[in-house]
Amino acid sequence: MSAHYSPLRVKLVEGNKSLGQITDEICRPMNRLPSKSWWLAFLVAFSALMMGIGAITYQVLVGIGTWGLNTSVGWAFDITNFVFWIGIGHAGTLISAILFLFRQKWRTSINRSAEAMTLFAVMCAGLFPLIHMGRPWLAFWVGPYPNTRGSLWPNPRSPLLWDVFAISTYFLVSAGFWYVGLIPDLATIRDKSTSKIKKFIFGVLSLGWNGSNRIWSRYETVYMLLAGLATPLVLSVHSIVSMDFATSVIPGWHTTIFPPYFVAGAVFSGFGMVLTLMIIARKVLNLHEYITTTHIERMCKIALLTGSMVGLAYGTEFFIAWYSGSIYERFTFLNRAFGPFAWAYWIMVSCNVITPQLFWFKKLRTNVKWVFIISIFINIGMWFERFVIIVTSLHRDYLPSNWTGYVPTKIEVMTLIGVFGLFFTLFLIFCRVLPMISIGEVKSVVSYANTRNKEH
Amino acid sequence: MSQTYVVAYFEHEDDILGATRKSRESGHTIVDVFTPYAVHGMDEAMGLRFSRMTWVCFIFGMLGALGAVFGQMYITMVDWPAVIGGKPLNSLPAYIPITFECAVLFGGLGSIVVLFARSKLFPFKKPDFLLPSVTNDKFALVLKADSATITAKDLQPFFADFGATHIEERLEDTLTVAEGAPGSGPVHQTETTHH
Amino acid sequence: MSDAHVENVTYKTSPRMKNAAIAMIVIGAITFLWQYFQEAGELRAFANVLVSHFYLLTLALGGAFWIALQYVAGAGWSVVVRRIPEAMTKALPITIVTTIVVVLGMSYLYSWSLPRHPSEAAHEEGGAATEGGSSPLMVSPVYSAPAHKSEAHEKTGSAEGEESADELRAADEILDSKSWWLSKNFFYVRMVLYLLIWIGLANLLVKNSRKQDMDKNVSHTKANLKVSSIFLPLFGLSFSAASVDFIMSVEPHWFSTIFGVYCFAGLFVSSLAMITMITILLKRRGYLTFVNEEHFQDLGKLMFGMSTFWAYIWFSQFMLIWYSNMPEEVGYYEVRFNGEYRFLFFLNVGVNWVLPFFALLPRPNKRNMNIMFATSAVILVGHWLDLYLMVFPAYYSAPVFGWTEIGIFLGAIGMFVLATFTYLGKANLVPSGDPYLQESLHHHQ
Repeated sequence: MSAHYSPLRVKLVEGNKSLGQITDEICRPMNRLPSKSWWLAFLVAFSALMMGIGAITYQVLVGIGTWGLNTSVGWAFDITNFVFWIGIGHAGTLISAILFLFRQKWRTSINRSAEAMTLFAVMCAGLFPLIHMGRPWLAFWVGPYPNTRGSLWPNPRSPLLWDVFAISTYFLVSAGFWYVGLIPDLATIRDKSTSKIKKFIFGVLSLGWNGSNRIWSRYETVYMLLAGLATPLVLSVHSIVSMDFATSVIPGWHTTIFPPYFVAGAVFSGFGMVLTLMIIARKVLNLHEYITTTHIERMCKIALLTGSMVGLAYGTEFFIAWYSGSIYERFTFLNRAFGPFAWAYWIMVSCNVITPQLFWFKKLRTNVKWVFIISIFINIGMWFERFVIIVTSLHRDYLPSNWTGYVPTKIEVMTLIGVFGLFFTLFLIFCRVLPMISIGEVKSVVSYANTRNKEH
Repeated sequence: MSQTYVVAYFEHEDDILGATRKSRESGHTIVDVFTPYAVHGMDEAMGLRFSRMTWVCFIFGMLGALGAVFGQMYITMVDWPAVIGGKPLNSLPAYIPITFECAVLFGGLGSIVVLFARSKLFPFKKPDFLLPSVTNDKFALVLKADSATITAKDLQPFFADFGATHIEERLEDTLTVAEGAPGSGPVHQTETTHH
Repeated sequence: MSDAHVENVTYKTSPRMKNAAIAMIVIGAITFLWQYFQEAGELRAFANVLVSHFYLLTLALGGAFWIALQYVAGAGWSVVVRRIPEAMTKALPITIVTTIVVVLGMSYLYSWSLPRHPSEAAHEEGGAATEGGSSPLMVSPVYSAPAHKSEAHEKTGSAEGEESADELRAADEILDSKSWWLSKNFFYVRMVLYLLIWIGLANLLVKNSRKQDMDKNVSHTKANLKVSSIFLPLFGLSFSAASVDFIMSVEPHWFSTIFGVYCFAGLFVSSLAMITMITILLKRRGYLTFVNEEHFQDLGKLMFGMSTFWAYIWFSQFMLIWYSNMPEEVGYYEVRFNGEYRFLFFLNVGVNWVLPFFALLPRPNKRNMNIMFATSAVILVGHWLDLYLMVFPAYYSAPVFGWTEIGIFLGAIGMFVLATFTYLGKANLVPSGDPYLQESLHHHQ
């Protein structure tokens, strides 16, 4: 079977690699001691994590009165972080599932780590509702199970229960998808490694994989099915998160565009984070030939696309708030843009709508330093987007006597930093213990250059 | 009971595909093909039937969805009816999100579990018929030596076109395969000894 | 391996098809006039034109969107069918005509275009508002339930109804507060702007693509990549705005931020269905022999996905409005979900999602031309129903359906077929100079 590739196609992996070479190069970080820069990064992340554990312990012991909430702003920092982290995860699923369905083969170099990022981000996100429960050890009460309280069931009409189902499904299916994708690579490492311990551990994890095509055939079908399921799943998860707000009657929260708008925002923020992580990883782990500037450029294009979609949604919201003729809608949006939180609003607009427009220029898309800076802006902007939506819609309601502000407490800020610590700690450990790039899938995309007769 | 197999090793995707096609056309019994990654077009070359996993996924998904719909209705209409937020007892539009999530959860995890069960993949399993380097950079075609003419030596010219790097014979214990049936069933193997 | 060679073939326009298309256009025109001169029949005539206009617009614009999307995504597989969406864009100029008809019927279709203050009314003497009963549009400050409207509609010519309607109109602060956007002159400006953008950029895309047939130059692909990246954001803005202008403003007090996305979902899935349908039609006549099951499977997958996307957007809008139950919004679904339209409301989901979902789920079905054809047809009928449900409940408290609806819709289809197949008769059926052509010809899953 020969491939008829258009002359316009670029190589996805540089440097004419043989299959064995790919295995060796991707596994290299796992076979040597960590570098100094890794240790430095790990130390910073781990310290942040320790601080976060301290902050979380403190607020669980004392209670969530340690937060800066008040009767008007009853939701603020905690849920902002929750939505932010869930959103981060979405890029991973987009890369692994949606790009797979659209046969965007360039995804193979980045899907493994993007999926890992998804899992870690969902873990981080899950922490926030747990903390908010006040008594996290009773978290199992949200599950619908027969109990001695009646049975007293959770309310399935509540978007918060939808969240429970959405987040746990998202985590489990993403984890399954990720693990299924890992199995062939785990077997590769099992067979390559010389150390007995490694052989044992990877032997257990690879479930006796032997590369049989009869299994590959079924495996590929399941992989495609999981991609097919993960695609609507990723849409549903952030839609359901958006419904926490949109099912209410609060101006600024209740708006029908929220589900697709949140999904676009989530993918956008996720790509911001993927870019940040990939640019660091390819530098630290020396994976330039696998994660090429072409990959970075394509991710920039997706960030541009989703950033523009988010911009269109901001515009639509603003326009319809005016078009509705409702004085409350109009006030909420004017207050967002010109009220006490105007600074947050304009950070959001400039980081999310204006900054990604720089990606129209090929020079900036291919300049890794610029991309890195812009990706940080995207991360900041998307955090502020959630903050703006949540806080500005609450802090000035129908009764001016209720109007108030909101300032996070130290504990809240420490928790956020701690969760960033958790995220990076997990990611750094992942880079060391598992193949960061899907070995098998990368081999399949270099294979078109891999015919005996015409070596390219 | 043991059986002799001929194993031919290749280094390129095109070669293994070509060799597999040719073996099938010549009427050899292909036991299996071992590759480091999923080779596009190999299912056709081997004559495998399209996997039925789609149906497994669909049925599990449907089970999840139906369970969720009726579960929610049972909770809100039968077991503990309560008017909450002015919503009707049967708030079907509000039940859709959980229904959808359960469909995906069951469909996804169900297919993974069935994949593992049908492919006999489980922790602590010793890989069956594990050939050297097939998880790294070699492609191996395994034929059943069911007549005297199918020996490593006889097949040498047969595979020469495809640049076979090495052809060997292996004697394996009780290796059974659904012969001739183009099923997608796994290579059923109970005990294997490697020499 | 050797590259497949494609001969330059154009579609031979069959006179039968052409005559049939012209006959359909004549039927459409006659139906429109017949309905127009019925007693108090103008509204129904114009409402049908509005539905047909938006229907044509979504198909034609969907073609342009598809082309731009394929260029931007660097998609190779779809090159073999690209001439079909190109042909569909040739229906865009028709929407100039239909836009003019919609503008002529403005005073029937858009209550916001009527004079609301006595002084204005005096100015526009002889406007539709004073023509006996022709305008059923009565406006209340909050959501106006169509039940009133149709009563007003039935009470044609009653002087009492006129007066109370005038009073209510005068009291409409909401419409006054947005008269900047919903005003006739700005509406005209926007119409011209939209049509200029759409027709201009679509023609540019098609022109470059056809030039490439001659000189096989890769530069045209690069040029079209640029045009596409300009087209897509402009399309996003203009189409969201156009869906508010044409469709949402038939109920000028109702608003929904997702509305543009909803219309876009309909645009995508219906134009995809049309591409599939024309491909199959051509294939059955012996053209496009190299379009095979693999291409159909991809078209089917996308159709499946986009139909589900439509359902997702449909559900988001419905569920959020149902859940919040706010008076300024929920009236929209009161009529459709709880009123006389209930059956059609569910039928809409059935034909636009449930049926395509199950029809396209199994892999063999996506590779089967007959099933793909039937499903596309169902989606295309469903798209009409979807638009009907967006427009008609604004005017009628119970569904009206009859020869008028069928006739005017046939006219629209006739115009579409004529424009599309005339183009197919002129251009190569394959973009033979495209650098991705070989990928497309050798496409497999």
